[in-house]
Amino acid sequence: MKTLKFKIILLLLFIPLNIFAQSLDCSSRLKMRQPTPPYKFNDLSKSAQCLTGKTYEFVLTLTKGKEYRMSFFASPVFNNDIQFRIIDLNTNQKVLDLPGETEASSKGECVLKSYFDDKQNKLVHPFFTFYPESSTQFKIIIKVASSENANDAESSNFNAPETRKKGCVTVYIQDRKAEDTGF
Amino acid sequence: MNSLFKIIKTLVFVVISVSIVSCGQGGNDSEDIFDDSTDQGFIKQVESQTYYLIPSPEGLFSFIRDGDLKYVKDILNPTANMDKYIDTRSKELNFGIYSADLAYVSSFNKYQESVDYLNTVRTLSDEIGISAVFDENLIGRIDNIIDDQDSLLKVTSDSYFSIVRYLESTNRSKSLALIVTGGWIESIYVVTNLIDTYQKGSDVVQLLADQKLVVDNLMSYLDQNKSDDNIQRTINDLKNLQKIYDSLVKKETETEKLKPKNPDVIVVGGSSKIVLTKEQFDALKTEIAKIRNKITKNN
Repeated sequence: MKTLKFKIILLLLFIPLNIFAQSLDCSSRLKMRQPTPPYKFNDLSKSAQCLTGKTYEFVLTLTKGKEYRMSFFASPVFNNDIQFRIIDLNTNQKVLDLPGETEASSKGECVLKSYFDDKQNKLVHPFFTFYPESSTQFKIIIKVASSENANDAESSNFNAPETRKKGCVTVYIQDRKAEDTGF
Repeated sequence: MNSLFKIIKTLVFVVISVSIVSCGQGGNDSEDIFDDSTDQGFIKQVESQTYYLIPSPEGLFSFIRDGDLKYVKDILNPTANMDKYIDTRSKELNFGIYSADLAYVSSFNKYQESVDYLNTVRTLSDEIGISAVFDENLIGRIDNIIDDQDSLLKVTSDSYFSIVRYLESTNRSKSLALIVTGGWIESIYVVTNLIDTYQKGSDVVQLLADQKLVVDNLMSYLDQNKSDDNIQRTINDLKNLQKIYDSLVKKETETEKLKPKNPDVIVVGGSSKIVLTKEQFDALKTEIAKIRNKITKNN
């Protein structure tokens, strides 16, 4: 009996270690990304832990003299059901407002789903290139849709505890010196 | 048998409690682990969250590398000052300052100075509990650098970014806020001290003017952590600088617009730019020196 007790205690002591190991380390997502020359990794890049049904804002400065390339990645748990919007705070204009994925998912139509690029003859992950005529602030708004489970829970019992999925959303930024300009 | 049941019940309760607290902490970085992860209940209802992103010192100095500002070692915080930093706040702020100095010397390919500042940063990292960042891999890369500017820069920027990542993954947002603030202050201090004479409209003056946007972000970022005394003191120390930046105005540019050749490139920012006058530049230079010297002297 004592041996059994000891084994159970040992087993239960190991469980918390596994649970700790399953929490997300979103910051290390950025390590997985490689810049595309001539662009270099820009350390304004950020990978944050996100929950379904929540909105996240990233405020950053784009400096004149550089050209920025942005791409976005999200954990599969979100099923690409995320809306991306970028506001240029200098002009107060919306410079991007796209879903994570569309039915066709063609170039310029969505943010997360890769598309086939005829020129390169391969699948390409969507990216967006910005040239700041003047230094400006970008507000990147990322709205993660509610999970289906959450909707079910809300409809079945208003006071039921909400179910939310958790994952990482990455804003990957590269830059290069802005040279490619002309009239 | 009853006592065994009680033990199991207690341990199950402890396990569940610990798992709830651990949400958001660092851990395994395998892609598979979060595909199916769900949090059932217990999550605080916060519907939106804002992240203010502050450029690293290396990011700021990259503009200097492209220009022709000179190397002046005397303006940096001497490594010997490290012994003055006893309290956590001064250690973290000066960690940021030394990180900026490291980025500056490595921008100019100064190998020995880079090693000296890197060692200082490593020693301080130990004292503020982030020495884990300098793992064998990073130390090995540092040891293998021989007068190679790209490698030197890559290693210093990688180490800074590793520190940021480590602090984020361990939820040390207050330490990160102070380190980032120290790094930004030193970067601006160095840049203002490299300008002998104010030249209206020069790239470096414009870079300083554009920091108005960064200051706004920095103050908002600090404000998110203002419940901490060390952060509140830092906010207070930066108030005069913020006032100077608040006085800068935007002006429409008159030059003909340049457009990128690539049609896929989205032009942003509009045609107005922030203007820094000579008087504002002088005030900025004086104020940033005051703030920086207060930190480095640990008064």
